[in-house]
Amino acid sequence: MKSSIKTILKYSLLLISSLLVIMTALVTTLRFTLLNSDYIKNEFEKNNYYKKLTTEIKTEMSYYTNQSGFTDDVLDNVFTENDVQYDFNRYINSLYTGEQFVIDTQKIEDNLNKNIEAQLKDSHFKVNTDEIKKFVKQMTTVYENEIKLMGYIDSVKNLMFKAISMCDKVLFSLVVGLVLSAFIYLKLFKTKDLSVMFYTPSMLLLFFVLYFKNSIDINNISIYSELISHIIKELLNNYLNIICLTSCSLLVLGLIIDILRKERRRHRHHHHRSSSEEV
Amino acid sequence: MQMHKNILRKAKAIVKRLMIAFFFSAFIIFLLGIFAQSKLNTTISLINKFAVLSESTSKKEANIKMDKIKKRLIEYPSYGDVFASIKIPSIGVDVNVYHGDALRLLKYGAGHHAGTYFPGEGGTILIAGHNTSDQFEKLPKVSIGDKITISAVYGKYKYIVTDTDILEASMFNKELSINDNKEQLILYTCYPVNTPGFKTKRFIVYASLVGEVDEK
Repeated sequence: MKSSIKTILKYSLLLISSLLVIMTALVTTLRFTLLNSDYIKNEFEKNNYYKKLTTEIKTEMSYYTNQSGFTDDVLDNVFTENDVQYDFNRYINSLYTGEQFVIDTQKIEDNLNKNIEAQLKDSHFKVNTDEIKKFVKQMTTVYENEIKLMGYIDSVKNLMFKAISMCDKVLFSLVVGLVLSAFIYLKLFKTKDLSVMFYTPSMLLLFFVLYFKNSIDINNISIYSELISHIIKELLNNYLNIICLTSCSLLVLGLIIDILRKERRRHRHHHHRSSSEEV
Repeated sequence: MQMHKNILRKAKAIVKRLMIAFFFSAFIIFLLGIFAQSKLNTTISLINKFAVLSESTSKKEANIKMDKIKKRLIEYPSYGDVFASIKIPSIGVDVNVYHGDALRLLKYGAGHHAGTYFPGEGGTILIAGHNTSDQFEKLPKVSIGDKITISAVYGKYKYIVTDTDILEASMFNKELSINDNKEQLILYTCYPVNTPGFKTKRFIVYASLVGEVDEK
């Protein structure tokens, strides 16, 4: 093969492989963080979200008890933190699987009715059962809305499911492409300049992180509530930190390849010299 | 000496490869800049739309005063701030008014619906309150001709009750219209007030401006 064609082929392969490494790093990180329901649930748990959400639901419900004529005690033991955690986790799962999500509010209704009965026993109010039913319905609606974050994420439900399946396919293609290009490169050029395949993604990923940290005001992002905003900020920062860590790992990997490769060459040279001396 | 040379050679090779990587990176960034810059900018500005300045950096001393010629406030109260109190002496109502009528604010006082006029601006003012004893429980007892006073941080205004009504909440939202040319105060609360449960009706009080009270 002509040396100029060989050089062009070598650099083209290096460029393609570098791009494949970058894409693989970005997509893999995405797949195992933002597109992974277990990771997301873990983040919510880490931030004590279920406890805070339980308080949030009770506060939201108390706004309606103000106008209902009942005291806030009517909400006592209507639901527990475990109920909230169970329902919220099911909701997160449904976002990632695309399944229909329905909350069974029967237990809440029963407990609420029991408390209402107890409060009405000693009161002088005229009771309108229709208004009581509407009140109970409103309370369960508040519970459902708070669990489902007012349906804000519902619109991306199908998108999320599609994104995961697309992400898996893309990841598979990237890995196959990467293995193939690396194999061809090793076959044709051995390990010469192989480290460039790791240095380039390392530099680009670092650029990606710096660019996003400078152009996106992550720490002031405000979505839905303070708590959700805090978790989203943490998720984004974690994603960028993992990318940053991957960038450093790729740099180290490149350096290791370079150092080992040099040592092998020196060893071969040394071996060649000692063989000549023997002759 | 030989080892020193080897290290130098090794370092030179690494620097050379890093230069190639740098060139590749610059080339890819250049290509991205040509083909994807506008999409990238749109995505970033979209994400940044969710970024708001924190309260500590955005809060400053408000200058809430009425421009009497333009009949407009020079600066408006922040959402969630108390800016007035409302008094109806005939039924013993005396309650603070917050700017905004979110349920979290109504827990503490009456709420001025953001988007309607402020007292003194010459348009419809909509104020909601819970039907609790510390707010508008006694509102259904009000009579036509009763006086209402709103003491805002920028002035004091007197109104007179002209009409009352009871509507379904859904109808109230549909029928409500904002008048830009005549100052009208609308107070409302959930109805009925003496039964427990979820209220779907609204008791509404309409009042007209009598004038600004000069406190000097």
